[in-house]
Amino acid sequence: MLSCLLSAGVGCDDPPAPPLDASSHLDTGSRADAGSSAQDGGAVQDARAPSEPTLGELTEVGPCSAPDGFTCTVFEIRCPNVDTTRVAVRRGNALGPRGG
Amino acid sequence: MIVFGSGNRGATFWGGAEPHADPVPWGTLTELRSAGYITVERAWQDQTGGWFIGAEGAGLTGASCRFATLLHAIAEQTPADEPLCALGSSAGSVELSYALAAYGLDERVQFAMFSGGPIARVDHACTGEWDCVSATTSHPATACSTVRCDVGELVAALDLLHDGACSANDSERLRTDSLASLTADRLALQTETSFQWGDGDCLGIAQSGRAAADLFGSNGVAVTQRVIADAGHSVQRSPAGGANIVQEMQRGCVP
Repeated sequence: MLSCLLSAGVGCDDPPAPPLDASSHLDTGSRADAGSSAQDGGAVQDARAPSEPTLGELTEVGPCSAPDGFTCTVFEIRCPNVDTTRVAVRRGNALGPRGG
Repeated sequence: MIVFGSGNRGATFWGGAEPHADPVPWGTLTELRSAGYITVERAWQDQTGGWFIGAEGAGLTGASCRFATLLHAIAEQTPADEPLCALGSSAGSVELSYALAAYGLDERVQFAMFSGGPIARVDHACTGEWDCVSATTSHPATACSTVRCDVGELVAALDLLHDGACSANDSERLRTDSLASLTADRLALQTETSFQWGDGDCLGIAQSGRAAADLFGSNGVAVTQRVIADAGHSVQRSPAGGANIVQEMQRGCVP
């Protein structure tokens, strides 16, 4: 659900929550299945050969803090062949009419 | 609606973490919002790796799935009569370019700006073994005494994304994952594009971006290229760069 991302729908005017602790929320679960990682100094064991680009899935996680006039929402993104990750999205409302 | 992607690992919002902390980009967002645009910025939540982390071996195409998925979700929620536009700075322009060229978002994004990027050929970006100076004579980095033809610190990230193909100089694999290959397959992008670089941007990703502009132009899309005076790689932080972004968005991001 993208209520806060794109419209002034339900939830967008909720009080902003404190910033998420990125390290505690990043899902690196699939890395465990991938064997040792290059970041750890080892070789990645699973085959991640390039294939036809396929979009992933996006799900809303919750709000994050934002300044006045903005809303912020954290989403989780799952894509083929890469670890699941999270992204904070900050949306700034228009302050006037188009062309103003 | 305009979607903004910051550079490097993409772990920060394009306009800065706090209001006015990065004054020119923040002012650019404010100007565009005052002109009636909704602004959307993304910040990848893994501070150590951003959009590169956990994508070892997936290439730029595979890693860009994350941004493409986000952009697609935004497109799905944007009314058809509302222009959807995007801007990427430096490595953020790489994500954007692949979302357009590899994931078909060019069919939905009306206007895209690239600031200090993207990467036209990954093999060139890794090795620096191409004549980036004479390849970009139409929009040269006039304030640079010398320019790099590789992408510097980003080479390590490209190596991770390609299972060490940069170090191994595996040109074939790197070429396959390049915009040059993707756009050749697609023949014609549908998104109008605008590129800007600082006249003092001496980094390889900027030179590669100039090659990408030529590439996109040769594939049929309308392309604007502009060299910004007195600006370096972070051209969006220069007053003239910020003004150009506002001007170009108001020109190209219209119903």
